[in-house]
Amino acid sequence: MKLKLGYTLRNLCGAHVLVAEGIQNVNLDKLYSFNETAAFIWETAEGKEFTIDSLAEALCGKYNVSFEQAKKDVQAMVENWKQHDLVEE
Amino acid sequence: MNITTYKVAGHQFQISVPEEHSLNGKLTQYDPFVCQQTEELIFNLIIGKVDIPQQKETVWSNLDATDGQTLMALFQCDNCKVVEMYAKPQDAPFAQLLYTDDFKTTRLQLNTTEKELNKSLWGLNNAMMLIFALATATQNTLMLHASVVMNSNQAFLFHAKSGTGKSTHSQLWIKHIPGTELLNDDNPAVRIWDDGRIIAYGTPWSGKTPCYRNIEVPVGAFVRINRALQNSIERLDVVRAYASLTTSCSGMRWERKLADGLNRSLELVIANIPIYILNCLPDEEAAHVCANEVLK
Repeated sequence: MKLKLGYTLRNLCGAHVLVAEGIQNVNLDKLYSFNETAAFIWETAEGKEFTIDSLAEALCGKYNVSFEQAKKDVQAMVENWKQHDLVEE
Repeated sequence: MNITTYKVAGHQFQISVPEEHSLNGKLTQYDPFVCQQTEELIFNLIIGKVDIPQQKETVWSNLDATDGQTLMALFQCDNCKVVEMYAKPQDAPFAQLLYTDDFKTTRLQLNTTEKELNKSLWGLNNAMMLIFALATATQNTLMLHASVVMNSNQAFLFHAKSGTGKSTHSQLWIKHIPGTELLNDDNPAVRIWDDGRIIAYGTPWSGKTPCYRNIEVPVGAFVRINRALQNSIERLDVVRAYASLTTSCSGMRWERKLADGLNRSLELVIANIPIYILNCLPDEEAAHVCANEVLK
């Protein structure tokens, strides 16, 4: 999987916001607020091919969670991103 | 060539008009901003014939827009960019702007006749607003789509989707809130200075209202105008403030450098200036509800 082009994760006074930017995106109406974990997973996934397992591994390296739990969390998050058309297969 | 230097939001630039061009003597809206050149220019826009490169790739366009904004297309050429403006999508462009990414070259060709003075000015003003926004995006300056009033030496910027009534709200303030004056009705600039001051500036561009005032006033608040059935005002948290402001900033996020610049400015504004949403009717009470909150 890959993240769709045309989005930038911005840090705004401590809040994480995903904004539509670049020539792929003229529509600026889209804006997503991310929590700390989502922001970390997004940054890990940015600019490369990824799998649920590769992201879960990174999450385990950052936070003290089991691989099984991390995989579950990543799965749910990526599913959510797919619903918002932020991920392509 | 008639070369004139202007200063807007502390940025100096020049416009060069050929001697015999119909725009000569017609740039009165720019007159309040004339200055002596004392520093490096951000650009010098030269009006005249432009050699538009044959090889060009479309990178952006809004030719499908229906909300009354000027129709434009952006092209990437070998070592420059070209922006073409159209009265109708199927027409030939009435204005063609060519610029390099460092703004050392900025040229505008107007494909209008001598009699089409308003169309020439339309092309020039759009090109100027665009090139000014681009050239200053990395210098802590925002070009906003807003109507601005001043009161108690503070600027209050009302922004909204086109047609929602930001100008109407400014007029309500002028009528009902003593000491209020209009600063700019459509396209003010806001600059964040290194010492932390955040200042609103009048510009030579103000939409349909001829209000071209060379005045600077510290920003008091930003207020998004939203039509509702009763009047109420709410201060927005960081994320909602960003969402609210970003749609009213001149876009041009087609390059990372420009998007980063805009974002840095927005972040400084949001961290230091209260951002509100005013749900309101177009009535006197709306002005009082707003003023009571932002002037307190």
